[in-house]
Amino acid sequence: MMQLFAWLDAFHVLRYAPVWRGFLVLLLSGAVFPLVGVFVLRLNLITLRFALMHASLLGSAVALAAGVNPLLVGMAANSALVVAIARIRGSAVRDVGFITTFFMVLTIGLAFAVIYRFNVSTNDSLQILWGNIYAMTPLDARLTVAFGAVVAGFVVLRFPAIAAVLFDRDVATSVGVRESLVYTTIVLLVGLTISFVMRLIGALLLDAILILPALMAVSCARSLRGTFIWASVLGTIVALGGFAFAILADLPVSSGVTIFGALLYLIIHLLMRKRSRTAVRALSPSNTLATHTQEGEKQ
Amino acid sequence: MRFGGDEQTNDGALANGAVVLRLSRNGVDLFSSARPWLHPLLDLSRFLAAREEGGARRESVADCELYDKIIGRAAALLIVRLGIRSVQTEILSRRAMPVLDAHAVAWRATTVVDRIDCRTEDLLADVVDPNAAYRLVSARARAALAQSDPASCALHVENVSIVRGERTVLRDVHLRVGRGEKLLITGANGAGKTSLLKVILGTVAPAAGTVHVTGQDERAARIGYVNQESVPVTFPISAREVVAIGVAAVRTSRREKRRRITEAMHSTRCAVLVDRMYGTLSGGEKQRVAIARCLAQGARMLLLDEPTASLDAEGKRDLVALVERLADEQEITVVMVTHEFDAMDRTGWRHVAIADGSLHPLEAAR
Repeated sequence: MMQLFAWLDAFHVLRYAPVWRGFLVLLLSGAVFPLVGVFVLRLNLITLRFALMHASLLGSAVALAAGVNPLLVGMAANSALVVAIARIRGSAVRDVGFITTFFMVLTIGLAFAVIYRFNVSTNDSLQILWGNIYAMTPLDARLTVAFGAVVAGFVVLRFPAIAAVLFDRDVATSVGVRESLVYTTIVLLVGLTISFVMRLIGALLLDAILILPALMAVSCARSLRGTFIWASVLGTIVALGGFAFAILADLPVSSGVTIFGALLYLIIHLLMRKRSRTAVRALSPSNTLATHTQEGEKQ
Repeated sequence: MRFGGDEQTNDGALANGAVVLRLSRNGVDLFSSARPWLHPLLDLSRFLAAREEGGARRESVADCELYDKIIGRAAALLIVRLGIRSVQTEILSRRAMPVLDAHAVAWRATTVVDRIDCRTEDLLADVVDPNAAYRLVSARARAALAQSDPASCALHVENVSIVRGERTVLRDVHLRVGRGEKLLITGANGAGKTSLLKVILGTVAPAAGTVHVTGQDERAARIGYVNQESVPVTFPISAREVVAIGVAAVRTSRREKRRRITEAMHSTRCAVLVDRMYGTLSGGEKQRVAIARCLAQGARMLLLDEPTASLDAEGKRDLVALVERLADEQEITVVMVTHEFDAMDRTGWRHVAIADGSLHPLEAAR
């Protein structure tokens, strides 16, 4: 009982405004940003995601050097990168692989050059990599809420067009969907989401919020609509569970969220494997034969 | 043609004395035609169908006599399909005799020959189903019409060249496809078949030339595209959601969209797959779902990119039968590319081959 009270006491930190604000933003992010993770997985935007992370790092480094809001500059950098990629894609090539690789290398190089040249403090630099939900300003929180609403609205209102683009981009064009517009919007949302999640839990751990819930959702769901719903629910669980785990284990929230997310992923993976094996066993001829034999014996 | 009362005559043909087909009852001409090939019989079929649609009592032709200058196997099958019981001809092919005899059609012929030198006659050598014969003859007629009359084209590809990297894949391609026509494009892997389809679809710009698709506008796409889909088995999307993609850009009520989806799935007999994960379906089931998507879209043209690639022999037959049924019922134009010509043997579709960067017209697949 004493232990329980000690655990509950640990959550008293929520009385502090920055902690409460950070918690709410984390919860919202967990519910909404895994939707973007579904885009990343299906459209194979992993390389692009790295390029956007690096661009966001560059933006944050520039912001820290200039003493302005890293979130805003990170968003601006990512938006600029998305626009550049969309223009190059439209004018020259459809495959963005080599473009993103180029920008990925260039931006990280520039980011470290800025950090070195402008003597950005080690602590601030690490914050870019680790993130800090308690460092969210009221402006950051408002921006995250507004952006979350945009992402959720996009997925709900444009679901048919999104389904077409995720299914096959040529098919999307054939049915009259403006594939290029939808695809660019998706990439833009991925870029901005990365900026927000980096602010929350850092560049190194953003997959816990962005990708892991989406990966789990793909295992659980049987439809695209179900995938988005599962991703949102599991993202909320990861955010909530990760936050609680971090408080109880006295860890940084980013670490707590990542470790909790990884454990949940492992559990779901094992459960799905078990379900799959059970289904295969139910179909195996030897099992069918055994069932028939038992029925015969009963008769 | 002039229509007078219940009777129809072709004045020009009668005046010139060049009538090759005449349907009469008790010595009164109901219909006559002087057009070449099997067109008179197709015209007669349309004439009778139009009278029926116009509210006229269904015309019984069982008591009519048909004069047809030459009757081969194709003509015999079409005559049987019309329900005519008595024919007179100047030249009768021995191949036509079993057809007429099997359906108790009385015939009188001035001359009997072993065979008539006609490609359609050869194509129908083994066909016994009058409806199948009608479909094949109609398709060939539409193809011929598209070649001679651009206005009847569903698709007109003009001087199209396709360049990929530094390689010219196709050069100065001309292609006309009639409404409701079924075209088979074959060629080796990498010959440019898919590139040509994508140019028709509009997702790849040609280096030169133009593509005109009748009735196609940007907002209401009328081309249904069935490709070698890239959805991995593990990605969850239900069969219903795939069909719903067809109405993604359609501006109508949700109820109407649901109706179109359900109707399309029933039409392609894949309604039982509605909640199944698309990635776990068999190759044949996937193709049915993909075609249902095109129907829900309201496509007037189907572009099929190697649709038989993952199918066994039975699956290939089923797919071809499904496509032919839809094409005939809804007059949908079909363009299919494949490298498996053997699988499409005996379909009777018009056939062009891609080789050395250009299109080579071939005889209909048989």
